[in-house]
Amino acid sequence: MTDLLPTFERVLPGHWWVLGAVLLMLEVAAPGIFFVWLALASFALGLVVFVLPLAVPIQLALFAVLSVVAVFLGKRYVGRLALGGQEGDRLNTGASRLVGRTVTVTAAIQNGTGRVRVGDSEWRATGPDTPEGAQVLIVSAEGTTLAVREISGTWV
Amino acid sequence: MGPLIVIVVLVLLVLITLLAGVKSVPQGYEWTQERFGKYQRSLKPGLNLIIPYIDRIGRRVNMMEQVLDVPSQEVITQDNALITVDGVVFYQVLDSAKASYEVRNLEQATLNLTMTNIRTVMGGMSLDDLLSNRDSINARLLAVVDEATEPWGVKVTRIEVKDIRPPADLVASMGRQMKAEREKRANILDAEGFRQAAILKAEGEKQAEILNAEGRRQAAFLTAEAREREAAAEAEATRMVSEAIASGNAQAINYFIAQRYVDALKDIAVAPNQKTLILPIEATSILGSLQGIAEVAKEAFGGTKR
Repeated sequence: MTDLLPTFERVLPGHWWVLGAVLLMLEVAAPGIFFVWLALASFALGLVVFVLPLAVPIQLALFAVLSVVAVFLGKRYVGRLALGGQEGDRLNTGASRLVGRTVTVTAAIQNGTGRVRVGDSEWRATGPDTPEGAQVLIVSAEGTTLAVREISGTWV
Repeated sequence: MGPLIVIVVLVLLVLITLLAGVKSVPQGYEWTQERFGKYQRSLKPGLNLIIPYIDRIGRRVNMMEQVLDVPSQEVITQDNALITVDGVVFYQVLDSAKASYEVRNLEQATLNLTMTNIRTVMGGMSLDDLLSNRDSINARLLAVVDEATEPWGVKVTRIEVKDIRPPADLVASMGRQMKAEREKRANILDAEGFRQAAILKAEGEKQAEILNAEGRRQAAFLTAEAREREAAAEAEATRMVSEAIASGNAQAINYFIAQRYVDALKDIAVAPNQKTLILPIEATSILGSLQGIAEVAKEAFGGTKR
């Protein structure tokens, strides 16, 4: 029974795989996308040890290195996973989701600032001086301020 | 055994370093990253790497739209009514850096700003205006609070006054006022109805009288006309008779009279209840009238002979 447990003299690939499984379970229990990289490293290391048995200290060092590598590779490829992709990019985008909308000026834009009505709320706007009631186009958004320009009949 | 300890420590160090450097931000939040305590950038949702030991996470800012309940507060209106008001504020952080470092306690700041502005706006209005102009109150509050929170990178999307509660006795008198108002209208309508009815009735009576008089007048006219016609006919008949007499013989009249006389006699004779016949007439006069007839005849025939 005792020879099944890992010691400092002898670690089997199965031990690394078990560790990987445990780490994965931890990841599910406490999501933080941290344990998952260690689990990946454990599986990979188990594979390496399975192919060529290494000394325990080297295994441990390799584990640390593989963990770091796993994180960087994950950072690189996790955004490009087919599932999910960039779906999240349309959420919590703040004011930039309003760009391109045509809105009405509710407080005349004077000295570069005024207010416009968007939906049932009002936003601070910057742009060329415009009288109240005019239609303007939102060209960009920064923080809570929208940059607008007048809709000219010549080119829109 | 020595190198093994070193290796174990090294592995632990790597793990802790990874723990410090790999940050995954959940959707709906932005975390600010500070380098030696100075704000560096905001971490967007997803997997982020920061430099361990140098960078650390400063604030975890919620970027979703949030609702703040404005607790009930007492406000004195312009016409000195003490009312209880509460409301809600919807706001959203659009700039996590400003919301983290420009203001110390964003929620409390926004709440206090809203409460004081509710007092300001409502204190300048009368109770009737307050109860009927919620839209404009909301709009004014929104304009002020939104402008004030702008430096904090916060967009206040909506401020709604939820409940405006005047004191109970005031509500009761408002109810009484409304009832009185409606009763007044009902009474006025009643009176109007009676007046209209009376006028219509009088109109009807007047018309009836007029028509009556018209009828009587017409009838009188027609009666007079009829009498006139009768008289005219009588006169005509008399004239014709007298003309006939004038152009003929006076004895002709005797013929008529005699005829009547004889008729009358016959009537008396056939009367059922008579025992005796009283003749108050001299036969001679009848004979006389007969003689008159003879004379008439003679004259007539004589006329033809001639």
